[in-house]
Amino acid sequence: MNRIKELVSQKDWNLLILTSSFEEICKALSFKDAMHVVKHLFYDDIQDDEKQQYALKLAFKIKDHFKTEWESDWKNDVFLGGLCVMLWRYNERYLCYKRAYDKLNDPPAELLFLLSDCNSAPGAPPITDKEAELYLKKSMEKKMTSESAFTMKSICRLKGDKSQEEYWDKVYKKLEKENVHFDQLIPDVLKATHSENKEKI
Amino acid sequence: MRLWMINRWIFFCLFSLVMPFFFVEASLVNPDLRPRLPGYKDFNKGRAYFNEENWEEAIFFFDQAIKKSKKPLFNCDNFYADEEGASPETSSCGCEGDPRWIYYNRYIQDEIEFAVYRHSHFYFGLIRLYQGDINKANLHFKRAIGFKNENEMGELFYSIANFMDPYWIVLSSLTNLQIGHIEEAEKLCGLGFQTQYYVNDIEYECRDDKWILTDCLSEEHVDDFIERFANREWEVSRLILLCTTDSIINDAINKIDIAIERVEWAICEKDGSVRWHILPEQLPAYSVLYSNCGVLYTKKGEYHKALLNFTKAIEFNSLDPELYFCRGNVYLIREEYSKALADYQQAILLDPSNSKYYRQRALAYTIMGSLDKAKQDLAVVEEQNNKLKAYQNELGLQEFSKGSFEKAIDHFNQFIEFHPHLATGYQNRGAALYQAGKLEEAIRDYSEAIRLDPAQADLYQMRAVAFMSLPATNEKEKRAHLMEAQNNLLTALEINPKGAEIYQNLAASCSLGGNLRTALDFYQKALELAPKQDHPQILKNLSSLHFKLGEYEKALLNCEKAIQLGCKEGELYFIQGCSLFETNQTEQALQKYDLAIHAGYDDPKVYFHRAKAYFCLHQFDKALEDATRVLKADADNTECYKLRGLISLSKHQDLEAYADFRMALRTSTSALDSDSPINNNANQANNSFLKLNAAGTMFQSGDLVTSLDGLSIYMPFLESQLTFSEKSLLKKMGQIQFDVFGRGLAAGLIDGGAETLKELGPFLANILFHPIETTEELLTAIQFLFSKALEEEWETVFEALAPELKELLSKWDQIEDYHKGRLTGLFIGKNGVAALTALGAVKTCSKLKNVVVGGYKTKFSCLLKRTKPEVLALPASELSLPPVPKDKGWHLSYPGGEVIKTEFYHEHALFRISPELVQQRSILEERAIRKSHELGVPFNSWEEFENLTLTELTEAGQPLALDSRGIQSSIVEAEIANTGSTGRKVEVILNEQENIVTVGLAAKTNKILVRNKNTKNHIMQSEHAWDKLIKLTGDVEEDCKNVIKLLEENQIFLEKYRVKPIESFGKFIRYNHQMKINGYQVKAAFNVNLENGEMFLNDAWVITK
Repeated sequence: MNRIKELVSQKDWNLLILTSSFEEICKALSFKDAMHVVKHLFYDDIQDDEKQQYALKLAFKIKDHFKTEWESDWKNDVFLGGLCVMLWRYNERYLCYKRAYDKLNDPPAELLFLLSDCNSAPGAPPITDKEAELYLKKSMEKKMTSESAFTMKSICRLKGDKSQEEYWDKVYKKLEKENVHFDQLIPDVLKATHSENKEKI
Repeated sequence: MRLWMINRWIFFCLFSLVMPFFFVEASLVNPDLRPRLPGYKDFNKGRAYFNEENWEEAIFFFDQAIKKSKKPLFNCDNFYADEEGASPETSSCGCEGDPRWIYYNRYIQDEIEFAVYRHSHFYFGLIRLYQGDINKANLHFKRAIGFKNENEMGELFYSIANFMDPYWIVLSSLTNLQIGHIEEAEKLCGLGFQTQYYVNDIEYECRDDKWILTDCLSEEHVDDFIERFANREWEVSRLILLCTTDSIINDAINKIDIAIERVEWAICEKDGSVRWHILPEQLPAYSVLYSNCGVLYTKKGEYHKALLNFTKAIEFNSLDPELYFCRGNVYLIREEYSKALADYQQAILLDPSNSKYYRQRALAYTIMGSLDKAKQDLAVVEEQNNKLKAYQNELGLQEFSKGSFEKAIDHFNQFIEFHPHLATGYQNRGAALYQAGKLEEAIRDYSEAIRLDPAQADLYQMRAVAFMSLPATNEKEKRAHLMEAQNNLLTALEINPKGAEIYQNLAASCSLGGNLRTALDFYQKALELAPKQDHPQILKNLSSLHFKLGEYEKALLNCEKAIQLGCKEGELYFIQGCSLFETNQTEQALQKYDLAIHAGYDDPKVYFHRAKAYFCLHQFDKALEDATRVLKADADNTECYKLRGLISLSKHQDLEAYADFRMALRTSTSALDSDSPINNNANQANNSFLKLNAAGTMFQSGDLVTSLDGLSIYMPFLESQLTFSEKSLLKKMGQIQFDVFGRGLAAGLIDGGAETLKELGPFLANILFHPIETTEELLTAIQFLFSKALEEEWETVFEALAPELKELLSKWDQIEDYHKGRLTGLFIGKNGVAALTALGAVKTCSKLKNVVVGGYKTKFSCLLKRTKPEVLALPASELSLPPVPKDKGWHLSYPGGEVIKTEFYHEHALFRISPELVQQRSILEERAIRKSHELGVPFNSWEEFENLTLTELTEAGQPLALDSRGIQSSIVEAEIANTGSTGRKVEVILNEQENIVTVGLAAKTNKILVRNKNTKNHIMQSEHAWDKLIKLTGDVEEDCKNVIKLLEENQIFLEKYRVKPIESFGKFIRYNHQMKINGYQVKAAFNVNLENGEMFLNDAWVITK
């Protein structure tokens, strides 16, 4: 177990994934540390498929192993959805976002916006375009941002509705100018590090 | 009219066949019968809303019901892949034996409790179907009928077939068909029909899965069904389903009629010809005919006639248990259970070893409510199945122990066919395959065995060993295999922490991976845990590792311990011998080698080492004898040729020595060809040694001609050392064509002279007008060369001072005579007489100056590039820039606290040049922001910012300039190449004099790179539908190339095709683009690494929904 902590402290990810099973990592580390390991493994090297696959599986393991901690923050599911989409697991992305959605009485606009993107997948996506538009509209009802305006603009472009496209383009530019954006959904357990990093920089 | 009659009749038949099923279904899986089941209340509410067509509410309550209800036990490896609404199930099925009956036996009580779960999913599916979401409907129907993915179909379907409404199964089949899962639909369709008949163990012989699918579930039917279903015409839609079976049933009836005619005709013929002469031995033949007739009537549904025929068959042959069994089945269908029981009992009496009689009797008991008796019978079934299984397994193991692995595999195949749900079969077959050298197949079998029995440590261990034995074509592959092996072993260790063998295998894997220390630790652990009889082997391995690590004393000690434990293996003595040899105890080593050979360790390497020992002890004859013996056994042993060459040399047999060295060279070269480039350098050096030795030998023996031959071999070695044999060179010089050489010399002299004048003029002018600076530069250059000379980098020095001479000498054999002459001419033209005078020194100094002043002008700059540019750290003061105020529209970061400033970074980040320069990049960016803030430029978009700053700064006489401290030109150049190749080219102009870097965006290169090979495979999956746009060849690489070409030609990466806002994922971001190509919408997702600006295609597909 100490070996895993040592490897993590040295950021020796290669050796870590070579010698440690998911169970071992979950047993050796706290929820917070394990989540950070996932983050590093996944995002440190975008080209390293091996590490990313490992990170994703580890995240699923963490979800099972630290049930209480995981369930205490819906943003963990959003984080997992983000990992899934990078490795083409579109259905699972939807399920993750949906799980987060189901946990909330009043889901925030950011999450609705993420859900609205789930109609984008090869073959048969998990939700239809109509459902996606519904989610987007719900999101816009809660908060209008440059991101949602841009998406509306794109939808109108694809539908060939010029006038609407122009309208949403104007809205998008205005919101962009006013710098109205969505908040990024970062799990509480990972937030601390961001601020720490920021301080360091 | 006739059709209507047939339909009615079919309806009746089906009804009567399915009756027992409904009975079971009603008693076991109807949730209304168990209102206290968890989730029942929600289910009931959901159903009420469903009837009111209030879908949202209904979905909510069904969802709740699913969450609260008890779930069936599934193997859920891939559960999360298609989960919707419900919480995940976790336990695994682990069914063994005939799944239907074992399941029936074990989980019959549980099945009642799954009713809410299944029914909720069924209604959920209906709602999804109504909403037009076939995909989700399909997921729910799958849940309703009890399997999660295709792999589980065979296993679980049969398990629950008796409790399942075929209507559900057909719905699942239809939805599969709609979403394009033809195979699954086909399979389900077949199973659906089987379900109706399975209760009675009567199978449709004339059934053909494919035929059923195309004929009964044609698209027309399905469309009609879906439409009617969506319009809630329940009865009509169900009728359509039933009607689709008409053709099958009619076809079956026709065939049965013909068969009955034939049998009756056969009976009549027999009756007519031999009825008065029936011999006792002919009785069974009659019995068979009547029993066939009985079976056919059963299939036709005319049970009364069937009973008469079976009874008649029994009259002719009362000792055939099969006849009682068949008659019992007919009684069961007619719900005459006591008669059925009597017949089954009779069948069992006659053949107590046939499990199907027990199984059928268990069914009868179950229907009659005698569950305990049914369980007893099922226990017998299981026991008999196991015996049968064990029999094939035993046979396989016998062959395995004889070494007949192929035969063993055949037996294990049968065993697996008989029971595909038992891990043992796969495990044993895997072992046989492993022994037969089919490693990949063995791994597949082990994996299957692990899937079935994940708690068995041996399986992981066996798989690990197979992985370790897998051949690898390169280092990466080898590493991957070892990693797999280690993962497996670690899992095995989790299951069995005291497995000494596991530790040994772990040690072996570490040793293979070069991690000897860890391997030692594992062997030590194994030694603690292993039984005593295994200790010698472990000690031997330990000593071998100690030897490899150079710990000869420990190696000796472990060998001694193993020998004391009674192990007299020759290998132990050999390791001892080698350890003694390495510790200069050569004579003792010799003794140990003798012992090793005496103990039967007849490996050539023992003789080789003994030869070495003899050689050291100057017993050359014995050494020669051993070395020759080794070479007879292994004619490509380079080391041994070397050794024998040395021995011959010591015996003054120069010619033999020369021959051996040459052989060593040849075998080494051939080995080189097959070696990886990594080993080349080491081998090159080794070769040089051999070449030199070969030549040296002959030179010493005075045979100059052969020596020169040797010289031609070791020329490359001399090139690197720059040490020449004058005599050899002179000899070589004599071989050139003087007229050609002369022409080259003349041309070279003119060029060399002209160059000298060109260089000399400015230099003299410099010395005249800037004496101090020029002298300083000269001194710096000399200092540099001096330092290189001290570091013995002669090549650098030589290249700087006389590049022509270096080229001439080092490539003498490779260049034309004219070129030789020209190079000589250049050298003399540049240095000539002056090379011997003081002026020559001045000219040399002018070259030295070039080293510093105009490095780029000479070849010397190439040498400079070899040294890695140092990235200077910025002073600490630069790091503490005042923060940029965020109250004036400067919010570049997301409010969530993420540092990455997506838009700014992505679109126009100027300093995404090198990963090493991230920090500098941040500082420079901050500085740029601060600068524009000072200028009062509000940040709206980078374009505006750039334009404004450019205009304002240029007007003010300052170009957009950013400090380049810390950025080395070579890094910048290299990274431009990188960045440029990834889709966006960044122009960087480095002005060293002004110490300014200007960076700007250039045109795109229109090139798309794919993230990695996995991505290619993913993109080319069939559901990405590229066949709609390009003609696919089946070769992923080529097809992917064509896809990329298509995307590039259509410039999908242009900003105007972006359809989503940029998604930020920490250090990288994702773009989604979409455009229409040849009538189809195409989507592409790109990843951009924020640290270096690399852009890769992550996914792309043709939209088909």
